[in-house]
Amino acid sequence: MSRHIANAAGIASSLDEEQLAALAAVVGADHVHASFAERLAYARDRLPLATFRVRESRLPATLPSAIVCPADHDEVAGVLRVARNRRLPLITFGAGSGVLGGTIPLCNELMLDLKRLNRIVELNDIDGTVTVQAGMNGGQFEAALNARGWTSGHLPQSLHMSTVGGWAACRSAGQASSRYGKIEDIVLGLNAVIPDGRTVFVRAVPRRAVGPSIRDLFVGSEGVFGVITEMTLRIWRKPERENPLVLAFPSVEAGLRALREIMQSELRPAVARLYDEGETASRAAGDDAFRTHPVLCILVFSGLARLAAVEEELATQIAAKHGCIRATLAPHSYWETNRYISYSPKLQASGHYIDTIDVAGPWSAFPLMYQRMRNAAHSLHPEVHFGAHWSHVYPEGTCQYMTLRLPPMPEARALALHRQAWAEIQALALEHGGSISHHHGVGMFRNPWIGSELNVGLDVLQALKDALDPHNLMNPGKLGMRAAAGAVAVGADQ
Amino acid sequence: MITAELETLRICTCCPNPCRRAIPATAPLQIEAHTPSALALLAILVFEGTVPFTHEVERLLGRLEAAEHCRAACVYGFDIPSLIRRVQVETAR
Repeated sequence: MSRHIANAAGIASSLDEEQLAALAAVVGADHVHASFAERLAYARDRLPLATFRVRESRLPATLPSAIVCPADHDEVAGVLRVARNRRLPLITFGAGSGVLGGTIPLCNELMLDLKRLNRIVELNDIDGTVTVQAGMNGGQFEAALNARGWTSGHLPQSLHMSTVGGWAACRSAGQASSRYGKIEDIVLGLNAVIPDGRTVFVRAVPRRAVGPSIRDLFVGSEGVFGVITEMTLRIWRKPERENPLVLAFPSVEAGLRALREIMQSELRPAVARLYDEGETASRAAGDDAFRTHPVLCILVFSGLARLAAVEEELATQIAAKHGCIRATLAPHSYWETNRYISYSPKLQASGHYIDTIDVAGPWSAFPLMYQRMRNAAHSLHPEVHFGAHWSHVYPEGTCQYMTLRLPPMPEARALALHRQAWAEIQALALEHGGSISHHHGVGMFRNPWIGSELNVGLDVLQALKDALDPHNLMNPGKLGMRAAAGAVAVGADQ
Repeated sequence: MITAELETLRICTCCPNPCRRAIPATAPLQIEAHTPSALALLAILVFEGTVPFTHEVERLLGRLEAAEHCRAACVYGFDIPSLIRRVQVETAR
């Protein structure tokens, strides 16, 4: 089946006039968009496979039927009732920065774009909490907090190209997560609309002991159980001091041992990043320290000035035991300048095949898991680039974040290698007792492995999905859930 | 003739729009079709003849308000709205 965009250009929305009018009655006619060109913009997210397809003028899967843009919680509920009554499948959309295909329409779904829900509702500077609408841009959110002396502590690379609701829906992690926690540690309460149009309200409290966490049914749900419209988040006073520290280790093994000891000694660096030799080379060129110690480590200690200084001193002592030497702060400056930038667009545009894979593993899995993943990647093709770094460190393990790049080549060959790389790396993560995903989520691209990750837990999720969404309307076919009838697979026409 | 412009737009199509933080939250429409990346893709597809240059497409390619806000926030320093206008002119010829 050809999915060339030229073949789709003349095809009208699959919604009829009555359906479009029903949506317009909820949000206003100006906020229902059904032209081909408007729908084309929602045919992809930032799944690299979708980028590979689009640069060949092909649709990743299908066009959405239309885009509807509610202004508030009540309008979201109204749209869901319209969708349910007319059996219209629907995908909640923030800014489309996901890299696993979580918002790609597979069966002409209706797109529910939340970007008009984009304001801070309340900042409580006694409790240290903020209530924010789900569609607010992450960069604007953080800037607004900073202006009042606060930070969310949640600073993903996608900060400026994602929404606050998207962070929660995809269970994301920010670059300062080792100190401030991941999004599941930050979300205290939320409002969500479930598929029948009712509202689930999780009051923001420090903690509760009233059964399993309903909040966590939505944090990481990727839109399959309902639509998060508003959240209350924990926030922090902007740190009095941020002390960067750049170290050079003799090996990856030494660096990992140092990070483990730092975390198990109860230090909490805001930033802890260790780069393998390949990634170090591009970040530390010209610094003599890395001639003999080719593994870069960037740490940042933050908070009260005295606390940051003490943590820096203790971490330096621990790291020294593992053979590191101190380097200049230039790699930190480079990282800080570029921390919210995607590195791939220029290479993607020139025909390279680039992807990133995030996994998690216990300390005991390293360095063998890394070595086997690196070997698997290098065995694919003589010109493959494979690089890894470790960030989001914990007392019991770490995230391993890998970049895979294949040179320009015939697309069919590249996509076969790309699939093989994913299959081998995901299998190795499971074999070593790790997780197939640390923070990018599942979308549709990780569907083949989620059963191995969750085992019977996947059946539990599907049972919840079937109960909440008996017509399978909410983002069907994502997060390992059952696909809708007639759904197509991304890239199936290659 | 406009090879360089098209190459720059191709980079934009592969970019996830970190510049979108510059789009005011008060803008009445907040849709993907108005982001630089989406407009860049559409401009290329129209120039190449993959997508017909209909009134609907022409109208959308003229909706550059959001992209104008994004210009100063482009991490590569590209002036995407100007490039889209230039490609549109070439397409119309």
